[in-house]
Amino acid sequence: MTTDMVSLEGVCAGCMLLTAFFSMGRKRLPTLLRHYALSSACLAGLIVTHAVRTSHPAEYAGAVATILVKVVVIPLAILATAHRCGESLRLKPITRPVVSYALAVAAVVGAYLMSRRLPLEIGPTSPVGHIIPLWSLVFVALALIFLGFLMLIIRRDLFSQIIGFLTVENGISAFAVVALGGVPFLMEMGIFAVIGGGVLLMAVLSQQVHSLYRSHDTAILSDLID
Amino acid sequence: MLLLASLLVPLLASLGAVVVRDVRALGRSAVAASAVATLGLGAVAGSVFARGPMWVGDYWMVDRFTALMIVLIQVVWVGASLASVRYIGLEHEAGILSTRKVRIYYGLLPLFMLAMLVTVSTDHLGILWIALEATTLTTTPLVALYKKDGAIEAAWKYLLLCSLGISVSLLGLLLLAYAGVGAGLPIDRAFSLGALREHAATLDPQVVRWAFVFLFVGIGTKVGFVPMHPWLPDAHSRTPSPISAALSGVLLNVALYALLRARAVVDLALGQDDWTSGFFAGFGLLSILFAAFVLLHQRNYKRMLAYHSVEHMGLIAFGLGMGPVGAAGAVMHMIGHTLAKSALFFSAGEVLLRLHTTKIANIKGLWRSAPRTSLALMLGFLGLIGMPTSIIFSSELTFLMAAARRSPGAALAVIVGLAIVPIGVLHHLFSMLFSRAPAGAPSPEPPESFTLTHAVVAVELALLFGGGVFFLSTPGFEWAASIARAFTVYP
Repeated sequence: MTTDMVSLEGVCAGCMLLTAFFSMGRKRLPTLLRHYALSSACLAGLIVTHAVRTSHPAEYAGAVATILVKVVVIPLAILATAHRCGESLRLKPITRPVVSYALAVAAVVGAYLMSRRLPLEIGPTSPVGHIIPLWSLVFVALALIFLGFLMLIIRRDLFSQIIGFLTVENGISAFAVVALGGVPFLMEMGIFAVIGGGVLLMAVLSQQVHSLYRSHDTAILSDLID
Repeated sequence: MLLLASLLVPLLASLGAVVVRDVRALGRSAVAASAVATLGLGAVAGSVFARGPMWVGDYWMVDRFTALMIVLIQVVWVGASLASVRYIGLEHEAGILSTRKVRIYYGLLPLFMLAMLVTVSTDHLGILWIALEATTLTTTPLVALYKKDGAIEAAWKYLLLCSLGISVSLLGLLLLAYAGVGAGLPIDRAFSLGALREHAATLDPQVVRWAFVFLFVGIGTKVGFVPMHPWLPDAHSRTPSPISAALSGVLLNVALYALLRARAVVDLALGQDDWTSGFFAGFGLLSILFAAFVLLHQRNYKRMLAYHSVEHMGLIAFGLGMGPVGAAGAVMHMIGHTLAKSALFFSAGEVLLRLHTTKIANIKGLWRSAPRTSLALMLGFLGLIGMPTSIIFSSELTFLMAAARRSPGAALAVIVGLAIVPIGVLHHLFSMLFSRAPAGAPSPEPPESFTLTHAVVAVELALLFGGGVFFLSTPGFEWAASIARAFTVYP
């Protein structure tokens, strides 16, 4: 049972990384949101496998909240905002897909190097008792964070920036699960509330940007420079 | 219990804005809420200063540093509420703000204050993180309130950059908790700052170092350290002036407070403060020098004040990197910056209400048309650039003396920065106050009267210049040093 769960944990983590990686070259908003939703579903899977392995049923609530908020509500809310604005769902990266993927590879390599330097204990001596090397799961979490930041840099539309921010947040959530076995329940709900509130505000602001400038291109947001 | 009861006041005030529709009543209830909360929280702070730290349950702790932050938040809250009655009232009358926006404003102002009060009063890292992010969420709609002239752009940058920064800091908090779990703490206790301090000697130093790096970069974004600062001048210059005063005068201090609480754990775990001091001194110096040069060519007076905040956060950080004497200077500087900056933003609001422009070039002969506001601006700026006897003069003197012994080269660089700043600031100020209006310019507005905002500014300036004398005395220095001891660990 434990070995199966560990394998599943690895599959979920790997799947999270792959979906985030392949979203880097995507240009259509619905596709990008599907990748994000799938990555979030894998995060929920990671939480569930961890809960089963460590016999912490309270963590299921975190998995349910993840599915509800990150797999369903947030992608639908972003898509609804885009449809309301009536703008093309084709986004504008500033790099070609090949270059985006090359940069994504660099980000993943950077995450790998950093995860090997992080002094987190490996194996059975780890505080949370992992069987597979902890650094490999931490590597996935860091790679998501790096990929999220990369998306913020190489995309110049508001929706991609929201998804970049959410990818960073998914990486941090994954880190909390793999390194600490999750966070206390009330804290987790508080984090969900502020992240949800932040994304809601971003969606409202992106709508206001569109109503002012008739575009979601961040290049137009350049009035305030010194 | 008084602490928690007082924290309910802003919550009730915010709910009140949902029910009340009359703009004047909204203003009056905001003032009343800030006054009631000040009474309760003032009693809590007074008790802590007299008797020592106070714990409420497992999650709430007030020591001398917290008490100081509570007092600063309350000073700005009361001042902002009083200034808002006039500022928001006039903007509503002029049709700039609709009744709906005024209700949003009065609904979010107390929630913003509540978020700051929770940030400084909690001992739990999770609650602290959530409250710090809540300060961003409650103020973003206020930055976007005018929906024009770059307000939406400023709000977008503010929300995105600060949320990203706070997210990165969450990684740091998780690493601190990981170190706590590794030291044998149960997961619930691993997020308690008190528990982490108690077990600091058994925390893994390497994990703690990484945690501090993420915390410094993440929370440093919210503090406005260069190069993580780009959101700050935009957001602080686009909000209604009473909110600018709160953002610049106290929110930056609150973010720094969060960083300093974590730093104490890190220093204890490492058994020395040199490593973290390097971060504070380095980023502080960078912020001072960058802001000094940018201030030379500012064209917008609210933006100029915002860049001053970058400089002053740099000065405070520099002081924090200069040992116990420098830390005492940093405490003085926090107080001085809160008073000077809120007074200046309130005064800037008066200028904006009168002349409807934030461009320095469009303001001529202010001294003749608005002598009270001009005097406030003059004294505020002189206090801010460190003229005796302002608190900022005392603080800069204190940490420059500390720096001269600890790092003379860095002290010299700070002096260069401090010498450049007045050139730009006084040039712009004198241009606004004393230059003559061109021939054919529109006739001046009616003579200026003494307003409630002027009264608030006068009190703050009196505290700014009177406090400096106190801090130059031995009891004043000892008082500041006793607060600094609450967040510093020096072997």
